[in-house]
Amino acid sequence: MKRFCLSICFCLMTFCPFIYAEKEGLNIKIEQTIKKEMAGSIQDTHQAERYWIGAWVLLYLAVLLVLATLLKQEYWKDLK
Amino acid sequence: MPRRGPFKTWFYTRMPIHKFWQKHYVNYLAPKNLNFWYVFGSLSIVALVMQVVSGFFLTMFYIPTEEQAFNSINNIMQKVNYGWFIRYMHTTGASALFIVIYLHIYRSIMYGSYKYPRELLWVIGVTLYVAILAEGFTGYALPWGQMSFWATSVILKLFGTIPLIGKQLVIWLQGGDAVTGITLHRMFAFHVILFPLIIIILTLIHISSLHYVGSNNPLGIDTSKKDCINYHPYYTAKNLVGIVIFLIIFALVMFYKPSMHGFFIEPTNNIPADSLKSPENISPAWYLTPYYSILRAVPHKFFGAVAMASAIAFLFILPWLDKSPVRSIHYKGTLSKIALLFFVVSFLGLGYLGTLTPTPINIALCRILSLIYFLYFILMPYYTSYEKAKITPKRISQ
Repeated sequence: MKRFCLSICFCLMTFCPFIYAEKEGLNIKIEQTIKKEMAGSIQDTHQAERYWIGAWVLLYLAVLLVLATLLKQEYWKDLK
Repeated sequence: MPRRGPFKTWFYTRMPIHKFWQKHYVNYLAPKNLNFWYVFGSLSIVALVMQVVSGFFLTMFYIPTEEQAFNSINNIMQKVNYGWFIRYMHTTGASALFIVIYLHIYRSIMYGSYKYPRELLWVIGVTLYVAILAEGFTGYALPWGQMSFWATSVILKLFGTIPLIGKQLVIWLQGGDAVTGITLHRMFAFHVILFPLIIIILTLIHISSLHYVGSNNPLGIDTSKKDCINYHPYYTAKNLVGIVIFLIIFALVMFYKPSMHGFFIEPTNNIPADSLKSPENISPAWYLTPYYSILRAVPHKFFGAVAMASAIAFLFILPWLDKSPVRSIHYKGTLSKIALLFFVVSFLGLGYLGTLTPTPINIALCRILSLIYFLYFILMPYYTSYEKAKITPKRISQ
Protein backbone atom coordinates (compact mmCIF):
# COMPACT_ATOMS: atom_id res chain seq x y z
CA MET A 1 0.00 0.00 0.00
CA LYS A 2 2.84 2.35 0.92
CA ARG A 3 4.57 1.58 -2.39
CA PHE A 4 1.39 2.32 -4.29
CA CYS A 5 0.87 5.65 -2.49
CA LEU A 6 4.48 6.68 -3.09
CA SER A 7 4.22 5.80 -6.77
CA ILE A 8 1.03 7.85 -7.13
CA CYS A 9 2.67 10.81 -5.33
CA PHE A 10 5.69 10.52 -7.59
CA CYS A 11 3.55 10.53 -10.76
CA LEU A 12 1.59 13.55 -9.54
CA MET A 13 4.78 15.44 -8.74
CA THR A 14 6.08 14.73 -12.21
CA PHE A 15 3.06 16.34 -13.83
CA CYS A 16 2.82 19.32 -11.46
CA PRO A 17 5.27 21.61 -13.26
CA PHE A 18 3.58 20.97 -16.59
CA ILE A 19 0.20 21.90 -15.15
CA TYR A 20 1.78 24.95 -13.54
CA ALA A 21 3.49 26.03 -16.76
CA GLU A 22 0.22 25.65 -18.67
CA LYS A 23 -1.63 27.79 -16.15
CA GLU A 24 0.90 30.44 -15.23
CA GLY A 25 3.61 30.34 -17.89
CA LEU A 26 2.10 33.01 -20.11
CA ASN A 27 1.33 35.38 -17.22
CA ILE A 28 4.85 35.65 -15.87
CA LYS A 29 5.72 39.29 -15.81
CA ILE A 30 8.86 40.19 -13.96
CA GLU A 31 10.75 43.40 -14.04
CA GLN A 32 14.12 42.75 -15.63
CA THR A 33 17.08 43.39 -13.39
CA ILE A 34 19.44 43.52 -16.31
CA LYS A 35 18.37 45.13 -19.53
CA LYS A 36 21.12 45.60 -21.98
CA GLU A 37 20.76 46.68 -25.54
CA MET A 38 21.80 44.17 -28.16
CA ALA A 39 25.16 45.59 -29.19
CA GLY A 40 26.58 42.87 -31.39
CA SER A 41 27.25 40.43 -28.58
CA ILE A 42 25.04 37.77 -26.98
CA GLN A 43 23.33 39.22 -23.92
CA ASP A 44 21.31 37.48 -21.26
CA THR A 45 18.36 39.75 -20.59
CA HIS A 46 16.24 37.16 -18.81
CA GLN A 47 18.21 36.91 -15.59
CA ALA A 48 15.35 37.75 -13.22
CA GLU A 49 12.98 35.34 -14.95
CA ARG A 50 15.70 32.68 -14.96
CA TYR A 51 16.27 33.00 -11.21
CA TRP A 52 12.56 32.97 -10.46
CA ILE A 53 11.81 29.87 -12.56
CA GLY A 54 14.96 28.24 -11.19
CA ALA A 55 13.65 28.59 -7.65
CA TRP A 56 10.44 26.76 -8.51
CA VAL A 57 12.25 24.06 -10.43
CA LEU A 58 14.58 23.47 -7.48
CA LEU A 59 11.68 23.39 -5.07
CA TYR A 60 9.95 20.81 -7.22
CA LEU A 61 13.12 18.73 -7.50
CA ALA A 62 13.65 18.88 -3.74
CA VAL A 63 10.19 17.38 -3.15
CA LEU A 64 10.86 14.84 -5.88
CA LEU A 65 14.10 13.88 -4.16
CA VAL A 66 12.28 13.17 -0.89
CA LEU A 67 9.75 10.98 -2.70
CA ALA A 68 12.45 9.21 -4.73
CA THR A 69 14.42 8.50 -1.54
CA LEU A 70 11.33 7.11 0.20
CA LEU A 71 10.55 4.98 -2.85
CA LYS A 72 14.09 3.63 -2.92
CA GLN A 73 14.06 2.84 0.81
CA GLU A 74 10.72 1.10 0.45
CA TYR A 75 11.97 -1.24 -2.25
CA TRP A 76 15.44 -1.87 -0.85
CA LYS A 77 14.35 -2.67 2.71
CA ASP A 78 13.33 -6.14 1.47
CA LEU A 79 16.89 -6.86 0.46
CA LYS A 80 18.48 -5.62 3.66
CA MET B 1 0.78 -15.16 -18.29
CA PRO B 2 -1.04 -11.80 -17.89
CA ARG B 3 -4.37 -11.38 -19.65
CA ARG B 4 -4.24 -9.00 -22.57
CA GLY B 5 -6.90 -7.14 -24.52
CA PRO B 6 -7.48 -7.80 -28.23
CA PHE B 7 -5.37 -4.85 -29.35
CA LYS B 8 -2.38 -5.83 -27.19
CA THR B 9 -2.66 -9.45 -28.36
CA TRP B 10 -2.79 -8.31 -31.99
CA PHE B 11 0.14 -5.96 -31.47
CA TYR B 12 2.39 -8.30 -29.47
CA THR B 13 1.95 -11.21 -31.87
CA ARG B 14 3.37 -8.95 -34.57
CA MET B 15 5.80 -6.86 -32.56
CA PRO B 16 7.03 -8.59 -29.38
CA ILE B 17 8.51 -5.38 -27.99
CA HIS B 18 7.46 -6.38 -24.47
CA LYS B 19 9.89 -9.32 -24.63
CA PHE B 20 12.73 -6.93 -25.42
CA TRP B 21 11.65 -4.68 -22.56
CA GLN B 22 11.39 -7.62 -20.17
CA LYS B 23 14.76 -9.04 -21.17
CA HIS B 24 16.76 -5.83 -21.19
CA TYR B 25 15.14 -3.91 -18.39
CA VAL B 26 12.72 -5.66 -16.05
CA ASN B 27 14.36 -9.08 -15.87
CA TYR B 28 17.93 -7.95 -16.41
CA LEU B 29 19.92 -9.30 -13.47
CA ALA B 30 22.38 -6.90 -11.91
CA PRO B 31 24.70 -7.60 -8.96
CA LYS B 32 23.09 -6.44 -5.73
CA ASN B 33 26.17 -4.56 -4.49
CA LEU B 34 26.32 -1.85 -7.18
CA ASN B 35 27.18 1.42 -5.45
CA PHE B 36 26.56 5.06 -6.44
CA TRP B 37 29.38 4.99 -9.02
CA TYR B 38 27.12 2.83 -11.16
CA VAL B 39 24.51 5.55 -11.58
CA PHE B 40 26.64 7.46 -14.11
CA GLY B 41 25.80 5.06 -16.94
CA SER B 42 22.10 5.82 -16.51
CA LEU B 43 22.87 9.50 -16.04
CA SER B 44 24.73 9.64 -19.35
CA ILE B 45 21.58 8.34 -21.08
CA VAL B 46 19.50 10.97 -19.26
CA ALA B 47 21.96 13.70 -20.32
CA LEU B 48 22.01 12.38 -23.88
CA VAL B 49 18.20 12.47 -24.12
CA MET B 50 18.22 16.03 -22.74
CA GLN B 51 20.72 17.01 -25.43
CA VAL B 52 18.62 15.47 -28.20
CA VAL B 53 15.44 17.20 -26.99
CA SER B 54 17.02 20.64 -26.43
CA GLY B 55 19.03 20.29 -29.68
CA PHE B 56 15.82 19.57 -31.59
CA PHE B 57 14.25 22.83 -30.38
CA LEU B 58 17.43 24.82 -30.99
CA THR B 59 17.55 23.56 -34.58
CA MET B 60 14.11 25.12 -35.14
CA PHE B 61 15.57 28.60 -34.64
CA TYR B 62 19.25 28.26 -35.49
CA ILE B 63 20.43 29.33 -38.97
CA PRO B 64 23.70 27.65 -40.03
CA THR B 65 25.09 30.38 -42.27
CA GLU B 66 28.10 32.61 -41.78
CA GLU B 67 25.94 35.75 -41.75
CA GLN B 68 23.08 34.46 -39.62
CA ALA B 69 24.50 31.87 -37.19
CA PHE B 70 25.58 34.30 -34.46
CA ASN B 71 22.50 36.49 -34.86
CA SER B 72 20.21 33.47 -34.69
CA ILE B 73 21.78 32.48 -31.36
CA ASN B 74 21.22 36.04 -30.16
CA ASN B 75 17.66 35.80 -31.41
CA ILE B 76 17.15 32.55 -29.48
CA MET B 77 18.47 34.23 -26.33
CA GLN B 78 16.49 37.46 -26.69
CA LYS B 79 13.28 36.91 -28.60
CA VAL B 80 12.33 33.24 -28.76
CA ASN B 81 9.94 32.27 -25.94
CA TYR B 82 12.08 30.49 -23.35
CA GLY B 83 14.90 30.41 -25.91
CA TRP B 84 17.39 31.10 -23.12
CA PHE B 85 16.06 28.00 -21.34
CA ILE B 86 16.58 25.78 -24.39
CA ARG B 87 20.05 27.14 -25.09
CA TYR B 88 21.27 26.94 -21.49
CA MET B 89 19.85 23.44 -21.25
CA HIS B 90 21.93 22.49 -24.28
CA THR B 91 25.16 24.22 -23.21
CA THR B 92 24.93 22.99 -19.62
CA GLY B 93 23.81 19.59 -20.90
CA ALA B 94 26.91 19.24 -23.07
CA SER B 95 29.18 19.78 -20.08
CA ALA B 96 27.00 17.62 -17.83
CA LEU B 97 27.17 14.80 -20.37
CA PHE B 98 30.95 14.92 -20.38
CA ILE B 99 31.17 15.09 -16.58
CA VAL B 100 29.03 11.96 -16.18
CA ILE B 101 30.93 10.20 -18.98
CA TYR B 102 34.29 10.97 -17.36
CA LEU B 103 32.97 9.68 -14.02
CA HIS B 104 31.58 6.60 -15.78
CA ILE B 105 34.99 5.94 -17.38
CA TYR B 106 36.74 6.52 -14.04
CA ARG B 107 34.44 3.96 -12.37
CA SER B 108 35.17 1.43 -15.14
CA ILE B 109 38.92 1.90 -14.66
CA MET B 110 38.63 1.79 -10.86
CA TYR B 111 36.65 -1.47 -10.79
CA GLY B 112 38.39 -3.04 -13.80
CA SER B 113 35.22 -3.19 -15.90
CA TYR B 114 37.37 -3.43 -19.04
CA LYS B 115 38.86 -6.81 -18.10
CA TYR B 116 37.70 -10.22 -19.33
CA PRO B 117 34.96 -10.77 -20.51
CA ARG B 118 34.14 -7.08 -21.04
CA GLU B 119 36.97 -6.02 -23.37
CA LEU B 120 34.68 -5.47 -26.35
CA LEU B 121 32.18 -3.61 -24.16
CA TRP B 122 35.02 -1.28 -23.15
CA VAL B 123 36.22 -0.77 -26.75
CA ILE B 124 32.66 0.08 -27.87
CA GLY B 125 32.41 2.47 -24.92
CA VAL B 126 35.64 4.26 -25.84
CA THR B 127 34.47 4.51 -29.48
CA LEU B 128 31.25 6.03 -28.17
CA TYR B 129 33.31 8.50 -26.11
CA VAL B 130 35.27 9.52 -29.23
CA ALA B 131 32.00 10.01 -31.15
CA ILE B 132 30.68 12.20 -28.30
CA LEU B 133 33.93 14.22 -28.33
CA ALA B 134 33.44 14.78 -32.07
CA GLU B 135 29.81 15.76 -31.44
CA GLY B 136 30.97 18.22 -28.77
CA PHE B 137 33.62 19.70 -31.04
CA THR B 138 31.26 20.19 -34.01
CA GLY B 139 28.65 21.73 -31.70
CA TYR B 140 31.22 24.14 -30.28
CA ALA B 141 31.70 25.60 -33.79
CA LEU B 142 28.01 26.41 -34.31
CA PRO B 143 27.53 29.67 -32.33
CA TRP B 144 30.13 31.17 -34.68
CA GLY B 145 31.59 33.34 -31.95
CA GLN B 146 35.26 34.24 -31.73
CA MET B 147 36.27 31.10 -29.85
CA SER B 148 34.08 28.87 -32.03
CA PHE B 149 35.79 30.15 -35.14
CA TRP B 150 39.38 30.04 -33.92
CA ALA B 151 39.14 26.74 -32.04
CA THR B 152 37.58 25.17 -35.14
CA SER B 153 40.43 26.54 -37.28
CA VAL B 154 43.11 25.18 -34.93
CA ILE B 155 41.57 21.73 -34.48
CA LEU B 156 40.69 21.22 -38.15
CA LYS B 157 44.25 22.10 -39.18
CA LEU B 158 45.44 19.17 -37.05
CA PHE B 159 43.87 16.77 -39.54
CA GLY B 160 46.38 18.14 -42.05
CA THR B 161 49.15 16.29 -40.20
CA ILE B 162 47.71 12.90 -41.22
CA PRO B 163 50.09 11.46 -43.83
CA LEU B 164 48.88 11.15 -47.46
CA ILE B 165 45.23 12.13 -46.98
CA GLY B 166 45.64 14.95 -44.44
CA LYS B 167 45.56 17.95 -46.77
CA GLN B 168 42.62 16.66 -48.79
CA LEU B 169 40.76 15.79 -45.60
CA VAL B 170 41.18 19.34 -44.24
CA ILE B 171 39.94 20.83 -47.53
CA TRP B 172 36.93 18.50 -47.41
CA LEU B 173 36.14 19.30 -43.78
CA GLN B 174 36.57 23.05 -44.28
CA GLY B 175 34.89 23.10 -47.69
CA GLY B 176 37.86 25.06 -49.03
CA ASP B 177 41.26 26.39 -48.07
CA ALA B 178 40.06 28.25 -44.98
CA VAL B 179 37.35 28.08 -42.33
CA THR B 180 34.28 29.83 -43.80
CA GLY B 181 30.52 29.62 -43.80
CA ILE B 182 30.82 26.35 -45.75
CA THR B 183 32.77 24.87 -42.82
CA LEU B 184 30.02 26.01 -40.47
CA HIS B 185 27.39 24.28 -42.58
CA ARG B 186 29.43 21.08 -42.62
CA MET B 187 29.91 21.19 -38.85
CA PHE B 188 26.15 21.62 -38.55
CA ALA B 189 25.54 18.56 -40.74
CA PHE B 190 27.97 16.51 -38.63
CA HIS B 191 26.47 17.80 -35.40
CA VAL B 192 22.79 17.20 -36.12
CA ILE B 193 22.87 14.16 -38.41
CA LEU B 194 26.01 12.05 -38.55
CA PHE B 195 27.36 12.02 -35.01
CA PRO B 196 23.97 11.81 -33.22
CA LEU B 197 23.15 8.80 -35.42
CA ILE B 198 26.50 7.17 -34.63
CA ILE B 199 26.08 7.93 -30.91
CA ILE B 200 22.59 6.43 -30.76
CA ILE B 201 23.67 3.27 -32.62
CA LEU B 202 26.79 2.87 -30.47
CA THR B 203 24.79 3.43 -27.28
CA LEU B 204 22.42 0.61 -28.25
CA ILE B 205 25.35 -1.67 -29.10
CA HIS B 206 27.06 -0.69 -25.82
CA ILE B 207 23.96 -1.58 -23.78
CA SER B 208 23.36 -4.83 -25.71
CA SER B 209 26.98 -5.80 -25.17
CA LEU B 210 26.69 -5.01 -21.44
CA HIS B 211 23.56 -7.12 -21.11
CA TYR B 212 25.26 -10.02 -22.87
CA VAL B 213 28.31 -10.17 -20.58
CA GLY B 214 26.56 -8.77 -17.49
CA SER B 215 27.47 -5.91 -15.19
CA ASN B 216 30.70 -5.82 -13.25
CA ASN B 217 30.53 -4.90 -9.55
CA PRO B 218 32.69 -2.98 -7.04
CA LEU B 219 34.38 -6.21 -5.93
CA GLY B 220 35.18 -7.12 -9.53
CA ILE B 221 34.19 -10.76 -9.04
CA ASP B 222 32.04 -13.00 -11.21
CA THR B 223 28.50 -13.23 -9.92
CA SER B 224 25.95 -16.02 -9.84
CA LYS B 225 22.17 -15.57 -9.98
CA LYS B 226 22.07 -15.66 -6.17
CA ASP B 227 24.15 -12.47 -6.04
CA CYS B 228 21.92 -10.63 -8.49
CA ILE B 229 18.61 -8.83 -8.34
CA ASN B 230 16.20 -7.62 -11.01
CA TYR B 231 17.18 -4.27 -12.45
CA HIS B 232 13.58 -3.18 -12.14
CA PRO B 233 12.29 -2.10 -9.63
CA TYR B 234 15.43 -2.13 -7.45
CA TYR B 235 17.86 -0.20 -9.60
CA THR B 236 15.08 1.87 -11.15
CA ALA B 237 14.29 3.17 -7.67
CA LYS B 238 17.96 3.57 -6.75
CA ASN B 239 18.90 5.34 -9.98
CA LEU B 240 15.92 7.63 -9.64
CA VAL B 241 17.51 9.17 -6.53
CA GLY B 242 20.75 9.69 -8.48
CA ILE B 243 18.88 11.18 -11.43
CA VAL B 244 17.03 13.67 -9.21
CA ILE B 245 20.29 14.70 -7.48
CA PHE B 246 21.85 15.13 -10.92
CA LEU B 247 18.90 17.27 -12.03
CA ILE B 248 19.18 19.44 -8.91
CA ILE B 249 22.86 20.16 -9.62
CA PHE B 250 22.02 20.63 -13.29
CA ALA B 251 19.22 23.11 -12.47
CA LEU B 252 21.47 25.02 -10.05
CA VAL B 253 24.06 25.53 -12.79
CA MET B 254 21.60 26.11 -15.61
CA PHE B 255 19.48 28.70 -13.81
CA TYR B 256 22.08 30.42 -11.65
CA LYS B 257 25.53 29.99 -13.27
CA PRO B 258 25.05 28.88 -16.90
CA SER B 259 28.45 30.13 -18.05
CA MET B 260 30.15 28.39 -15.08
CA HIS B 261 32.88 31.02 -14.85
CA GLY B 262 33.62 30.71 -18.56
CA PHE B 263 34.03 26.94 -18.57
CA PHE B 264 30.64 26.07 -20.06
CA ILE B 265 30.15 29.20 -22.16
CA GLU B 266 33.32 31.13 -22.96
CA PRO B 267 32.94 34.93 -22.68
CA THR B 268 34.96 35.26 -25.91
CA ASN B 269 32.27 33.27 -27.69
CA ASN B 270 29.70 35.97 -26.97
CA ILE B 271 31.47 38.13 -29.57
CA PRO B 272 30.89 37.44 -33.29
CA ALA B 273 33.62 35.58 -35.19
CA ASP B 274 36.30 37.77 -36.72
CA SER B 275 38.70 36.01 -39.08
CA LEU B 276 41.16 38.94 -38.91
CA LYS B 277 41.49 39.16 -35.13
CA SER B 278 42.37 36.07 -33.10
CA PRO B 279 41.67 35.91 -29.33
CA GLU B 280 44.62 36.03 -26.93
CA ASN B 281 44.18 32.42 -25.87
CA ILE B 282 42.60 29.93 -28.23
CA SER B 283 41.31 26.83 -26.51
CA PRO B 284 38.56 24.33 -27.25
CA ALA B 285 35.73 23.44 -24.85
CA TRP B 286 36.89 22.20 -21.43
CA TYR B 287 36.15 18.52 -22.19
CA LEU B 288 38.74 18.57 -24.99
CA THR B 289 41.40 20.52 -23.12
CA PRO B 290 43.27 17.51 -21.61
CA TYR B 291 44.09 16.37 -25.15
CA TYR B 292 44.72 19.95 -26.27
CA SER B 293 47.31 20.30 -23.47
CA ILE B 294 49.08 17.17 -24.71
CA LEU B 295 49.14 18.72 -28.18
CA ARG B 296 50.63 21.91 -26.77
CA ALA B 297 53.21 19.99 -24.73
CA VAL B 298 54.89 18.65 -27.85
CA PRO B 299 56.80 21.32 -29.81
CA HIS B 300 56.46 19.56 -33.19
CA LYS B 301 52.99 19.84 -34.81
CA PHE B 302 52.95 16.33 -36.31
CA PHE B 303 54.25 14.59 -33.18
CA GLY B 304 51.91 16.70 -31.07
CA ALA B 305 48.97 15.38 -33.09
CA VAL B 306 50.36 11.85 -32.76
CA ALA B 307 50.65 12.28 -28.97
CA MET B 308 47.10 13.60 -28.80
CA ALA B 309 45.76 10.65 -30.82
CA SER B 310 47.84 8.23 -28.72
CA ALA B 311 46.28 9.61 -25.54
CA ILE B 312 42.93 8.27 -26.75
CA ALA B 313 44.41 5.19 -28.46
CA PHE B 314 45.84 4.00 -25.13
CA LEU B 315 42.31 3.90 -23.74
CA PHE B 316 41.36 1.41 -26.45
CA ILE B 317 44.11 -1.04 -25.51
CA LEU B 318 43.70 -0.68 -21.74
CA PRO B 319 42.18 -4.20 -21.30
CA TRP B 320 45.34 -5.75 -22.68
CA LEU B 321 47.71 -3.57 -20.67
CA ASP B 322 46.31 -4.55 -17.29
CA LYS B 323 47.93 -7.85 -16.29
CA SER B 324 46.51 -7.94 -12.77
CA PRO B 325 44.72 -11.19 -11.80
CA VAL B 326 41.97 -9.15 -10.12
CA ARG B 327 39.63 -6.53 -11.51
CA SER B 328 38.73 -4.14 -8.71
CA ILE B 329 41.05 -1.53 -7.25
CA HIS B 330 40.01 -2.86 -3.79
CA TYR B 331 42.09 -6.00 -4.35
CA LYS B 332 44.92 -4.53 -6.40
CA GLY B 333 48.23 -3.55 -4.84
CA THR B 334 49.40 -0.12 -3.69
CA LEU B 335 51.20 0.59 -6.97
CA SER B 336 47.94 0.39 -8.95
CA LYS B 337 46.24 2.71 -6.47
CA ILE B 338 49.05 5.28 -6.66
CA ALA B 339 49.15 5.00 -10.47
CA LEU B 340 45.40 5.61 -10.70
CA LEU B 341 45.70 8.63 -8.42
CA PHE B 342 48.50 10.08 -10.58
CA PHE B 343 46.46 9.38 -13.71
CA VAL B 344 43.45 11.28 -12.37
CA VAL B 345 45.60 14.20 -11.20
CA SER B 346 47.39 14.36 -14.57
CA PHE B 347 44.09 14.28 -16.52
CA LEU B 348 42.50 17.01 -14.39
CA GLY B 349 45.70 19.06 -14.45
CA LEU B 350 45.98 18.79 -18.23
CA GLY B 351 42.33 19.78 -18.54
CA TYR B 352 42.85 22.90 -16.45
CA LEU B 353 46.13 23.88 -18.12
CA GLY B 354 44.48 23.57 -21.53
CA THR B 355 42.17 26.47 -20.69
CA LEU B 356 45.07 28.77 -19.72
CA THR B 357 47.40 30.90 -21.83
CA PRO B 358 50.43 28.83 -22.94
CA THR B 359 53.15 30.49 -20.83
CA PRO B 360 56.55 28.71 -20.46
CA ILE B 361 55.57 27.49 -16.96
CA ASN B 362 52.25 26.16 -18.20
CA ILE B 363 53.92 24.38 -21.10
CA ALA B 364 56.47 22.81 -18.73
CA LEU B 365 53.64 21.62 -16.46
CA CYS B 366 51.79 20.26 -19.50
CA ARG B 367 54.88 18.21 -20.39
CA ILE B 368 55.22 16.78 -16.88
CA LEU B 369 51.55 15.88 -16.66
CA SER B 370 51.52 14.44 -20.21
CA LEU B 371 54.44 12.25 -19.23
CA ILE B 372 52.56 11.02 -16.13
CA TYR B 373 49.46 10.40 -18.27
CA PHE B 374 51.37 8.20 -20.72
CA LEU B 375 53.43 6.47 -18.04
CA TYR B 376 50.20 5.27 -16.42
CA PHE B 377 49.51 3.22 -19.54
CA ILE B 378 53.06 2.32 -20.56
CA LEU B 379 54.04 1.03 -17.12
CA MET B 380 50.73 -0.71 -16.46
CA PRO B 381 51.82 -4.19 -17.69
CA TYR B 382 54.79 -4.02 -15.30
CA TYR B 383 53.29 -2.72 -12.08
CA THR B 384 50.10 -4.78 -12.42
CA SER B 385 52.07 -8.02 -12.85
CA TYR B 386 54.73 -7.09 -10.25
CA GLU B 387 52.48 -6.13 -7.35
CA LYS B 388 50.75 -8.70 -5.17
CA ALA B 389 46.96 -8.71 -5.40
CA LYS B 390 44.73 -9.44 -2.41
CA ILE B 391 42.51 -12.53 -2.38
CA THR B 392 39.04 -11.81 -3.69
CA PRO B 393 35.90 -13.27 -2.10
CA LYS B 394 34.12 -16.06 -3.98
CA ARG B 395 30.73 -14.46 -3.55
CA ILE B 396 29.39 -10.93 -2.98
CA SER B 397 27.79 -11.86 0.35
CA GLN B 398 31.00 -13.51 1.60
